[in-house]
Amino acid sequence: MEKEIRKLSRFKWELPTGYKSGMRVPGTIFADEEFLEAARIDGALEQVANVAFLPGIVERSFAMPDIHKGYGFPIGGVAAFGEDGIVSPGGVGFDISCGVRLTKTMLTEDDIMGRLENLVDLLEAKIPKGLGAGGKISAAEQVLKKVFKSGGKAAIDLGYGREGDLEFTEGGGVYTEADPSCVGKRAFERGRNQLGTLGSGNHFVEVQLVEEIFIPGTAEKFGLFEGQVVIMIHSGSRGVGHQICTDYLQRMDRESQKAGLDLPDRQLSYAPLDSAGARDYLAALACAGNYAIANRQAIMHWVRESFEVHFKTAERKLGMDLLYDVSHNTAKMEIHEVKGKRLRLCVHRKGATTSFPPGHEGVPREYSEVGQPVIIPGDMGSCSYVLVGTARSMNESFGSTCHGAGRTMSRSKARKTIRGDELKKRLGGKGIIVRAGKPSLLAEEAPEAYKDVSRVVDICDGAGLSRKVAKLRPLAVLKG
Amino acid sequence: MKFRVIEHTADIGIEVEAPSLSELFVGAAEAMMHIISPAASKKGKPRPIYLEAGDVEALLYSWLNEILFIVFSEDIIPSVFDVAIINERALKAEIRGEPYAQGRHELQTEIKGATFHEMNVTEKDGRWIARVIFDV
Repeated sequence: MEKEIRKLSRFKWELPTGYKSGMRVPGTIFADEEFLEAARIDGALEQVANVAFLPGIVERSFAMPDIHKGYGFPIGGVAAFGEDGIVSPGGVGFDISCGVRLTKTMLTEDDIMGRLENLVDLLEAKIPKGLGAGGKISAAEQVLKKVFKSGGKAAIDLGYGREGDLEFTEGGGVYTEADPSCVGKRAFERGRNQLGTLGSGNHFVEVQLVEEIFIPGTAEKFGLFEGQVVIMIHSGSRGVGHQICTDYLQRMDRESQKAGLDLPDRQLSYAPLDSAGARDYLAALACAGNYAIANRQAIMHWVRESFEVHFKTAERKLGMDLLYDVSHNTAKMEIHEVKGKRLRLCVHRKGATTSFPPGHEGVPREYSEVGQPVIIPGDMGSCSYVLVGTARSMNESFGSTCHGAGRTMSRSKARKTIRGDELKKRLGGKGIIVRAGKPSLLAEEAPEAYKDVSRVVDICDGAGLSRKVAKLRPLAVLKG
Repeated sequence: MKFRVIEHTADIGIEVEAPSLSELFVGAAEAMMHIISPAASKKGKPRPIYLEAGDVEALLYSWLNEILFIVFSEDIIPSVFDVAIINERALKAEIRGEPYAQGRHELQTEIKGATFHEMNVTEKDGRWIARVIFDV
């Protein structure tokens, strides 16, 4: 049986079922030679193979070009399961529905430079960030239930945003399968004071500039132009998601051990899709997804407020419309065509983003002609991207593309080899204002700890998973 | 008890060694707190904990995640851990910690959860070893 990795095309590789005994389907890795080798060395390919062990997996176990080693699934992993399949919390991760949103403005570099420090002061004062920072919103149980149930709409009802924002949020701003009764007491407790908090690690708010446009027609549809100021928000479901993942991992581990399942990695414990465990997990995951959307909605509201104060102009007049909000850690039921049949599949994306084509029902009406915006946060020293979904991604990767740069260096190594204060100085030299907690935390997020995001999106473009629309460069970074 | 931090591309792990299972659990908790907030004071109100699980790895998972819940939902920084292992599927413990106070405690890394990935607890020649990967 074939054991060796095979090149299928320039950026596409096959991990044959013979790679590891027990694989039900082959793996597909979208990468160039160097990224593939890096994934082999750090053990991520082994994880692509492990995912292929899971029952009911349809077609292939996929990895996007930002693949690196995770736990259970690799980061950058995509897998879909049919009705006879499963759902696995290890295929989503702890930060359920971690995602990004991009807010537009009608401002240009000239409007903002010179007084940027002042604007960043305002943002810093309004947005709780970092470890130990409680939120400004105290969400009692009844409020939390509404947030869990209706996501973006609940945040808007609380006064954070405007109705029109929902249309430009994935799924209309709501995971409809949410059922708060499936969320444990502890997740409720953790959710109480974390709504509207950025968190720490790689989460951020960045003021960015549109540096380059690659597809003018699509950029125009998205409302992007060269020289434009935009704001990117990267955050997730905070302690709610962490606790829901913890609780359901425990439950599924117990059930998997009881059933005597032979798993290649214990983190891959699962529940069959037709079981109560799967239904409950998906309903709780949806609550965390809604919390994450509401969280980013509240943060965007404070971004708008900061701009209003700074420019003494109403945010609508500043053109602060939401371009799109999309999550990159999810499991969702979606319809996909497989061998000519339309199937309802549970698609896991762990560090991967939907990349739906023009005309797809998941794309906002306004973007229907061009496809779904895909927001890719880069590392703080280089750049980020806006991509657009393609029809090819539906055939290649269940409508998925990359989610970011992907780490290449462990956090502890980054701390040892990079000095946070020097990094801040270096970024300052490039004209980037950085506000972060401790210098060591900043060092963990240094550009050299990540892959080159431009190469990641080029591979996605080359493989047809998404197309590059615009490149964004950072002006100011607020780090958790 | 001794521990070392394991390098992992996206996340962080610990390997702990101890002469008994109780000390291993204490060591794992201390190692995890070393990553989150090192050098906390040894004060605080005692808090009883009782946990049951299907096997020793699941017990360690529950133990570490129990502590994470206390840290990140109640803002307590635990620093003293007394663990009595009842058997490989149950433990009684008492932990002590202070409420988090800026300036007195240094929060370094948010751990989102202790995972089952590559987790193992083994005993050889009277030495216990545990390995845990955290999502950070």
